[in-house]
Amino acid sequence: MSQSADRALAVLDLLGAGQELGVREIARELDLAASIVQRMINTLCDRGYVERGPGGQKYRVGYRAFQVGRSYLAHGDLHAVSLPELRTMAERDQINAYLGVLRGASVVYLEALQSKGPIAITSTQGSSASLHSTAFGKVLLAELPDTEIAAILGSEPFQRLTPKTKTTLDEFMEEIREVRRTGYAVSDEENIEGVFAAGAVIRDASGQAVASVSGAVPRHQLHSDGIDNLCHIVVGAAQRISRRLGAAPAAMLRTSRSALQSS
Amino acid sequence: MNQERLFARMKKDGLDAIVATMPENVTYSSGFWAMSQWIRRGPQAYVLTPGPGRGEPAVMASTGLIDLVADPSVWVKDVRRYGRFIVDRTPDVALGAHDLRIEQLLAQQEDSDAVSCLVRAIKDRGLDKATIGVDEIGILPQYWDKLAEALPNAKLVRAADVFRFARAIKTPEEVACLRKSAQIADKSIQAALAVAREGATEMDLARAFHGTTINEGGMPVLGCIGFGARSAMTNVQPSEYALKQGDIIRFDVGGRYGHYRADIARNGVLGEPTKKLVQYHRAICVGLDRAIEMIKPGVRACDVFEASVETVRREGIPHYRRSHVGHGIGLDGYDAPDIAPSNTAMFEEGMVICVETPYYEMGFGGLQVEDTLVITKDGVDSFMLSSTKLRVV
Repeated sequence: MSQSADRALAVLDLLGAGQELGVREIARELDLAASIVQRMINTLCDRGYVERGPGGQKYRVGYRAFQVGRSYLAHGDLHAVSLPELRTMAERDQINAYLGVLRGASVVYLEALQSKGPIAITSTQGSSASLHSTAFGKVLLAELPDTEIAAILGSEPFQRLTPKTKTTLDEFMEEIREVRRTGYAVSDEENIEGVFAAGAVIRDASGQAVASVSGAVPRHQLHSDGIDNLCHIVVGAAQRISRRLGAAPAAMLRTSRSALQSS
Repeated sequence: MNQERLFARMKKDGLDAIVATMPENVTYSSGFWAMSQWIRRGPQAYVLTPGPGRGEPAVMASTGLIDLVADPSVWVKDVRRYGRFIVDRTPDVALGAHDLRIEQLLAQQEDSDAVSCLVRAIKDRGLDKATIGVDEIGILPQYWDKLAEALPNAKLVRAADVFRFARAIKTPEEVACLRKSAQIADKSIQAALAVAREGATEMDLARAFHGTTINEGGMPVLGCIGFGARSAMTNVQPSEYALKQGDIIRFDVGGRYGHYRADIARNGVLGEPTKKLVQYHRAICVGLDRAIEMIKPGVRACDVFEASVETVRREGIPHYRRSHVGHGIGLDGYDAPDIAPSNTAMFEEGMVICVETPYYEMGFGGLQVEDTLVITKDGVDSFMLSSTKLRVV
């Protein structure tokens, strides 16, 4: 263990509690010589990790500590990690891009970006959608045991949102088996008439599905190549996000194999 | 020696030369550690330092101290001796450099007494009509009279303060000695606390303290170590009192290193401290912090005193009173400046000071935190290895 690194971090921990502290207070708290603390503070100040408070005598956490701390979100924050991929989908690929998580018996939109294309499908961040009718809902359900899916979806018939919505458990479970095989799900005008969507799960470092991403386009713009292309984009985005969250390649294998099959 | 500062003050005071007489000033202005003068009262040793262009300095030493004045650490070349002291030598044996210097000094003319020796050195430099500052602390009154009688045309003025002024700003070598001295004391406190347990006596801790000081290269001087209510005695001397649960352990201690003093203070407690002890100890620590945070060149000593005392009051000892919260330290344990309400002088870069906020309450105990530090161009550089935290043992 490096003693000086350990001590410097102890200083940051102490200042991180939010109170401004003088060198001698820190020294007493950590039971270190004031001269040692002063030298550490000088270095931390030079590097922006600590700064003088308004009085000039006491110290507080500096802007660099904030910047470094904030970068933690890049590892751990689903939203921050997903956003660049969703933007690419919306801006480059002209796909309406969504990030969703399973909450209760719904999928909740963490992010919804409208495509730059001529037709935008609007959804609001924080609103929820049906699990049985949306692509990003289906992929989340596919992660669960059959009995749990049945319990979540509740009594039949399921809510009919469009003429194409699957409203019986048998019908739905048949599709879930297909989703489990391919690693992605589609919603062909099952949630909103005229809208086709594809979804895939996002996994974290433990391999657990933590969210899903989906891409939606107007059905009339799609031909068969277009469907494959949409699925490929969505699966690719989900994999890249998973990787940034620390998912091992093995955890993504199923998705990745299905992506190959779909292309 | 800070010659520049000494000469500047001599010029200001109109002194053509200055004579050191007290042990600290003799060592300060020559490097000569006149042992008999340090450990007894009465023996005379002088150093004559003429102002710029008025001649070389001279040391006046008793022949009995011949080996010490011949020591290579004495930088003054002109060494004069007085009085008889017999040292024989084996014929036809080669002598080392130190012994050769002793032999050389023994071969010189000896004067009958210290004053005659000093008068001859003054006359040799043509200073017998000069204004001569004499450090009044180490010279016996009858010798002062004798000096005045032998130099009827010279003007003798008291000059201990001139030395005190010069000594206040330390040279880098002095700062190094003082730092080491303080750190030896700090390590010695830690060693003493390591033997503190129920039943250990103040003497047990004193032995651990002084033993460590010696092992670390220092010499014991100050060792006030008191437990329990005894810790309220300002100058508590270690006794056979045995430590019991809840007792305060107060240290006000420090030896010498290279003749330079240490004076620091810390506190411990056996077992869990009471609420009052925690509150009072914290108050004196925060008061000390306040003083040290303020100290830098240009700040007045009296302002630091006021702020420090006020802080202790506000932080938990509402009735706190003090006559000072610190002092300079060097060869002498109390160099300038005093951090006292009457001292309007400003701190200067290069001063080495002890800052302290002691509190004594009979029937309760004494608590004292004291740090030593050097004043830098924009703040302070602490010598301490430990924090002021109350050590729970």
